[in-house]
Amino acid sequence: MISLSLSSCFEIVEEVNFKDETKGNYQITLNCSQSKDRIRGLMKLDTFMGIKIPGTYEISNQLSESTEVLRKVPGISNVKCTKDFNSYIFTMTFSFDSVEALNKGIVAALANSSSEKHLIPNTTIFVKTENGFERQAIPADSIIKRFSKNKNALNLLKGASFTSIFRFKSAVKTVSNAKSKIAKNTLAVMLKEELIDCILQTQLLYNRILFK
Amino acid sequence: MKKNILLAILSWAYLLQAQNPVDYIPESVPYLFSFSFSQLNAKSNEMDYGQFLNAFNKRSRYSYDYDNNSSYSCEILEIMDLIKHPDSFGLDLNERFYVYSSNVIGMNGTIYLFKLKNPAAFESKLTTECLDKFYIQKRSLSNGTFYISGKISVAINGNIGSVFIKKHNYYDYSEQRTSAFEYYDSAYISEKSIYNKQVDSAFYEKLNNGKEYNYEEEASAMRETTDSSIIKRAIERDEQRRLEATLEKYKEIQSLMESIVQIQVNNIGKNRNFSKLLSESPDAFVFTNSLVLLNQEMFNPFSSYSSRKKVDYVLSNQSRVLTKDISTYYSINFENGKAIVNFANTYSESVFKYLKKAYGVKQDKSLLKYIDGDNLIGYMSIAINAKEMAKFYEDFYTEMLEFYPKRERDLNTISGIKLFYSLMDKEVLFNTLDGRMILACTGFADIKMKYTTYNYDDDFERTEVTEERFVKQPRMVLAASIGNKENAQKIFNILKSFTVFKHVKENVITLYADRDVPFNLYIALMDDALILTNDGNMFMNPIKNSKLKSEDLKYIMGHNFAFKIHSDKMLEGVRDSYFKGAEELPWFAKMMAELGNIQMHDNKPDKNGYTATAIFNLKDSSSNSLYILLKMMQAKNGF
Repeated sequence: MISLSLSSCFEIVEEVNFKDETKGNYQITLNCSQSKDRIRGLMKLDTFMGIKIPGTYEISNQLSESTEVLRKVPGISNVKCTKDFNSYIFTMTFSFDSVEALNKGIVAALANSSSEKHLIPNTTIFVKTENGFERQAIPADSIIKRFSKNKNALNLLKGASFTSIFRFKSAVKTVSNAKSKIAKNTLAVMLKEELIDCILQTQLLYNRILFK
Repeated sequence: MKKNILLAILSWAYLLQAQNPVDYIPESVPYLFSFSFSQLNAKSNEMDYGQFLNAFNKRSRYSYDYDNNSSYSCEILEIMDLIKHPDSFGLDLNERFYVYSSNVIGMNGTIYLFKLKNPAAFESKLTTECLDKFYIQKRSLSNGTFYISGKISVAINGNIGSVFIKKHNYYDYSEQRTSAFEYYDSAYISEKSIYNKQVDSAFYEKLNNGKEYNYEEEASAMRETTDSSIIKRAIERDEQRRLEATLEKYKEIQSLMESIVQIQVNNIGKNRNFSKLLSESPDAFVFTNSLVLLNQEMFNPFSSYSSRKKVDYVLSNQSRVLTKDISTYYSINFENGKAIVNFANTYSESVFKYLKKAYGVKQDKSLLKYIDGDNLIGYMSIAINAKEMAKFYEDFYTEMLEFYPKRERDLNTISGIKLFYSLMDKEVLFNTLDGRMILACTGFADIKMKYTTYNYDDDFERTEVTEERFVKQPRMVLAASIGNKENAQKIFNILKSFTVFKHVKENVITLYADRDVPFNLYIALMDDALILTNDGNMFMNPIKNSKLKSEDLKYIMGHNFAFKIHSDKMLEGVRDSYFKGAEELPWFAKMMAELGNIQMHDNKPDKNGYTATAIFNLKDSSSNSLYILLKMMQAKNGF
């Protein structure tokens, strides 16, 4: 396997903060500052190893469009997007009034960012249960699964990490995913994995959280 | 009688023998490309080099067609087919192939000129008819056979063939039809009107002859009757009009094609610089008639593009001194084990007096101590007398401007430029740094880079932290010799006062990397040099650099311009820094196996010109370099 020096390249941090049983905030951060020098060089190219490299304008445009799409989803509000093209850190935050709205928002934003026709179909990413919270596995026909078939793109992800943090108002009793951790104050659950593993092992992100 | 016939045959045979394409190219062409099929074929060892000739594809495309008619995509020939398969088009591969541009106003385009071994075979490959029968006009005249169209035209005169591809002009509109029914002329309307009246009368009579008719049926049948002969005559008239318009439009192209295949009294072969180049028989070359090129309207700063009216220009009545006899050429030869690119710039003897002084310096040896000889991957060394070179360019460009045609109101512009220039401090401009410098790459260094990441406490609350890591960057050093130390210090002090620069030491400032400058830039003023580098260790942890190898030292000190890349070291560095496991990349592995050092140097200018040579060395000295380069490209495409 060829590995370029984009290893340890970037991190994606997802945070779901519940204010009560149903409402909360969602934040997703893409932090590429570890690879900012490489990215600066790559962005001067049109393609690299068969992968089209977007320019600053395209990225900015895409983020703005995703922001607009999110604003139109019922149950989603306070949508904000920050872009730092010096350190290449991008953050999207929004408030949701239900887990259903949260799911719709994420699916809508992902749909907007992909040129593929068959997107994640009405996928349920998060589920609010009577006494708990679940994060579902990645569906087999998802964009991510298709992405995993592109060897060059996969190689570029080596060293990248995905961190997911859920914060609740209720104390957490158990988690089904052995790799996730419960916070000292029992009000949060964190899972940190290699991004490439998340793509190749679709069950890796699945987690059923039960409250006390 | 028999003697006359014999004389005619001998003359014709002599003419065919004597047909040299060079005789047909005017001396006034601004630039000329040429390559030799036979030489390239022999050296490529049957590998396909045609893909690298795509630059010669000057196909003109129309962007719209009102009739959706495919006639506009009908072309007499595909020029790339001709270039990639010249033997099937009957070209004489032992003669050179020439490409140049048309100088004729309103007839901008590219001309391809070649000798034919088999004119009949060439003509048989041409598309002579299109859906639109007026689109290609064939004319057989005493001075040649011509196929004329709006885009591509072909001329054949004996064994000389030529293709002209006209550059598309937005205003070339007359051929386009605005409507599919343009044969609806006044004669058609008149005839149709008379016919309609006749039909109406007949229909009226029929309805009133007492018989029973279904009115709707009869009226419908009546409307459908038509006299096809009216339409036929209208179409014939329309075709005649179109033919006349086409012939009128093609008159200019016809005239150009006739001139292309006519021997020029003042042809390029009479240019001594061109003749010298041709005698060297390079595999390929580009020759520019610099004076002609620079005198084109697009380079004239006084030309008036905003006005469509003819402008009366004032011309200089002086004689050229510095700007006469200037030409440039680049030629390439593929030899066994190396490819050689030669560059030559020719000029008048008056120019030589300036250049002798400008190039009469050697590289400053004291700059070499700033270069790490042991880790040297590549360098570029320039040694000129900047003050003398500035004097030359001042006089050269002043003369250039004097000779550009200009309007009355522009006459004072040159005086204004001279006044402004005389007020400038030449000592600061051209002697702060005296014109001698070396740019070197001395390996791949670990450069510290800061980045943002996150720490999480026990409750998974995130905090942003700044950490450092090492990234590989090529270590670059630019060392420039100081002419006037006092001025250099003054300029450096001004630079220090800019807030973008951080002070590292008294004589060292730095610009930290950001989005636009992806590396840390250090600028230092030493006693004998100005240094620019991305390697801060040069000043933080300075060590005594090892000396340059004697061959590099000799190369730098022996030329005013010297450039070299030690390919082995460079490719190893790139591989180790950026491509782990790069042996699996076939093209990279091929490059490492085949590529030798790349070097370029100049030669001292003489009375007639200034030359430079670039050599791409290959490790295998037994195979031809073209063949090896093509194999490397093939490996790259297979990646």
